[in-house]
Amino acid sequence: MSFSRRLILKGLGGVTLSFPALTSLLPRSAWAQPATRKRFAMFVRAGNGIVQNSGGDPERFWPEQLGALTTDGLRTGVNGTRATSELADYASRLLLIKNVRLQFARNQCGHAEALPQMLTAAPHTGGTGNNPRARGQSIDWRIAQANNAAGAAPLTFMAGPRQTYIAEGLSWSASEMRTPAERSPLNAFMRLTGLAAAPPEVQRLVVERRKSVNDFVRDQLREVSGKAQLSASDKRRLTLHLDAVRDTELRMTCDLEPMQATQVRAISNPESNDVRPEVVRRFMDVAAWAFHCQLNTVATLQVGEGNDQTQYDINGTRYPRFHWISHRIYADGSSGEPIPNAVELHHQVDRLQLRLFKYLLDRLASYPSAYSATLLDDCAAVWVNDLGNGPPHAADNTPWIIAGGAGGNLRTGLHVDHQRRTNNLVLNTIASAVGVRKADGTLLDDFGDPSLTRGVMSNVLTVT
Amino acid sequence: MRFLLASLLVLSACDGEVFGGLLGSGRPDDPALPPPLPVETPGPSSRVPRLNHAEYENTVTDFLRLPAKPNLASTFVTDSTGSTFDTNGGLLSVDSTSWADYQRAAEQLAVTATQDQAALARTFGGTVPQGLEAQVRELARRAYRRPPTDAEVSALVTLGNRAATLSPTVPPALGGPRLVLEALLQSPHFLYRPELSDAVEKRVMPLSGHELANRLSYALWHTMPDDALFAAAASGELSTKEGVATQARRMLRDPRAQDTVASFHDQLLQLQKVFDVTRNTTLFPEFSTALRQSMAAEQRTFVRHVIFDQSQGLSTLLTAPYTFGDANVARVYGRAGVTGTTPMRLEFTDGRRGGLFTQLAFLTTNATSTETDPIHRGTFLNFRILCTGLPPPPNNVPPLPGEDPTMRRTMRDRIESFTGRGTCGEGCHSTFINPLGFAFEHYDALGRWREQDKGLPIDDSGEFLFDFSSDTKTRFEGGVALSREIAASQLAHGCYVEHWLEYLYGRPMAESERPLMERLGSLSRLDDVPVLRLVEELLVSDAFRARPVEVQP
Repeated sequence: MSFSRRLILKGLGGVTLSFPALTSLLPRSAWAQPATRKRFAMFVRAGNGIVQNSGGDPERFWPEQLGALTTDGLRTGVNGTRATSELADYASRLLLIKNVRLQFARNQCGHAEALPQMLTAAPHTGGTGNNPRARGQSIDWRIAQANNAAGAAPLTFMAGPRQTYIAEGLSWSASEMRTPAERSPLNAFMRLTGLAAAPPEVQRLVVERRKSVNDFVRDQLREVSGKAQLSASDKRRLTLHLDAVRDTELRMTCDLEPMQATQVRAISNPESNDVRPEVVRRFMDVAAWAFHCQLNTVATLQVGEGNDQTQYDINGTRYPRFHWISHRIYADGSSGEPIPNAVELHHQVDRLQLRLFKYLLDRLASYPSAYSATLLDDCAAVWVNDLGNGPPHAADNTPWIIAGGAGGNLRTGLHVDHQRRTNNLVLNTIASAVGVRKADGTLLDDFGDPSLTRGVMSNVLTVT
Repeated sequence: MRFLLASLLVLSACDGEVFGGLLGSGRPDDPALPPPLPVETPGPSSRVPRLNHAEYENTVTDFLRLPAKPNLASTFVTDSTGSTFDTNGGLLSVDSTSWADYQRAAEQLAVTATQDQAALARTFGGTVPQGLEAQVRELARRAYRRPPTDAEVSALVTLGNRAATLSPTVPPALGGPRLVLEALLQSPHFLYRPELSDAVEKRVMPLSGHELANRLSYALWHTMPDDALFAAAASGELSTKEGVATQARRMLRDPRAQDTVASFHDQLLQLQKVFDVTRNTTLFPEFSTALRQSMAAEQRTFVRHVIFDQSQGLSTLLTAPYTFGDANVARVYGRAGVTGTTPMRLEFTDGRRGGLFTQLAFLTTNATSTETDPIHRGTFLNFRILCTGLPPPPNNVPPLPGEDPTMRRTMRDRIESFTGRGTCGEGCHSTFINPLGFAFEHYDALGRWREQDKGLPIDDSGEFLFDFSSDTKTRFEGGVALSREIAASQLAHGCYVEHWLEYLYGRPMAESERPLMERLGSLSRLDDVPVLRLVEELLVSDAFRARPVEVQP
């Protein structure tokens, strides 16, 4: 047992034997593909729009010029007043994409209906709250099916409460099949590793025991799913379950650094408003670690509810709810007392969101790569906001930031204008960059709804 | 009407017919009774609905006869279906994240249940059967909630016999059952409720006795069947409407049914939102975070009293001139003399309040931190209470303009100038949303009664088309009058039945079930049929007791 697991176990008060991990004894064959370069993708989503030159707001987000990015260029002059200056340290590894459009009608609630489109580029069932369901799979699942061992599910995280008006809606395993998000970094870590204090010989026995139980369950699942009367939806659900059983046998031993392990353990109330940025950072710790250990190749992290209601603490000040700030009033609706200086407050939240994203880049850059300088260089680390601005919550100029270059498959150090073309093109580009291909071996260019114009962003993709 | 309903129910309990009929089918030779309806065609549903987390927690507690809930499901990854209710198991799946949860919980529970001989005896209800095969047969019967096949028992015995090798440090008498329990708790026959019977009768597939026992148990208790229900399933008692009705009535008398009814109303009325309510305490000094819990307790106590203590129906829920409030709630209502945190009955004798929509939970969760929100109040009533199915608003509706400090206007005036007659929002707002929302303008953002808005008189009058087959709108003034009109409308009663159908059946209502909904809605409207009677009728209906023959895509 490694040091970090001891730390976790110490914090949990000795539940060890209930959580046998044993993954070190499992076969590594599914992962062991040294000839194939591993690439990773992580999507971090913020909500409520940004302060940019749209909807009557001043430009406070993007650098002034399109084209090449440099650290000095992002830090100095007017660019230093823009939110993206928070990422100046990574200028050469950034791809900034402005003016990306979400195609499908937002008839009732911009938040609820933009969220399911973000990574699916698919229409939705419509409605408010949690009702809108994407009518297509999200790109994290498409990437997972292509790049993960045995089609293991992507990691799905959310920093936010579970009981809320608009909960998770970023990840969809199939049409209308929402992926529940993990709210606790500790639980996420525990699931990925298991926790064991048992000596190796005991671990071996537990592995065999689990395998025996899995075999038993697998047989039953196959028998049930083989029934002719099952609907296609039922069969899909049971297939997902079968895949999950297989996935549990493919975990390996790999530990968080002690400091991260301590911090992950320290959060006892992960859904609380007051620890939200901390939870975001801890999920980033877990995701970066999972990539490093090749436990998974793709993750999503939703920051806040669909209409992020977090009251952020910035520079020692407790802000009003972010959603209210984005409406510029002390209310979720359209009427209420104005929030003084709301645009500036919104801009400060934008900066905080990008500082959190920078933390992910720091974590990814802290791990070595077998192929590049760091793990970050093997990644497409993506930051998005599912709305373009505060009022009126437009969805035709959403911001996308990609960092890392996906192992050299994406041009970086670049700021481009997507000119209100649709998000499926960006998703095709990211997926292709991390190695997803169509059945004929060509670049993925048809992800999302068939009504959308196919293609990739050939101006940023270096692979053909 | 009350007499007719009673007569029909008596008949339904006597004829023993399997499928078809009105409220259980009258005798065809009795000319005084309406002719039986054809078989109610059930809507499509999943054949493998998964237990939701609450059901899982309850089921492991009952299966293993644990002294208390193990509280494991609270650590599971959250379920998210996007449905009005959490009972739609056909939308719940198992991916690698949730599988890890189930695996971890199964291993932990298996240890708990076989910690020692005393724990094992408790798991078996007192006496441990002799021999692994007998133990397996009993454990599998309760885990699968049906008798296991011989092949299933054999596979489990084979697995259990490996315990000596796989768990050499565990005493043999405990190791076998422990390994078997690990497997049972991860079995799809435990985590799902498979409905795989396929016999066809009168163009539908009747559920087997055990499948029906499971449907009943999860619909009314959110857990596995008890011994009496297992016995009814095994004896064939559930093959008749009479048998199902007998069990349903018995189960509705169990305290667990109160939790189920409470959960239905919590979800329907979005009570969870009350825990997010915040108010400016300068404007609303009665507000405190403790008030949130008090408001929830008010609604829950009221609902339980009407449905269980008074055996009354929807009309009473919507109009009863009383509520139950503790000191925090009474303060908002301006009532002196109420102390403590136990809700006390408060009578409304001034005609200003009556029913759920003049209570604090509805009024505060549909308001902003400073002002009333007639649009959301009206929208909620349209969607959740009347099921009017509003068309979506156009794209990019700009927000309601802020208040003009130079012009004193009521909230109604502000909204009407933006969405009322002559504006682009007229179609939906003037016709559907605004009239219902404006009726509550005498209740401020905390639900307090107010005589004026911004120092101006309040106009809470309106009219609404409750009967779509007519052109005549109904006029009303104020929330109490509107609640009475809603309670008198077929729309509300049909909508309420439709919600109950979705909750109990674990799926949305199908078009083929509309006649059932309309029939029960009429009975509810005309006679204020008790809510529990509506629940019972939904459970004995053909739609609940069978599946459609067609396989859904």
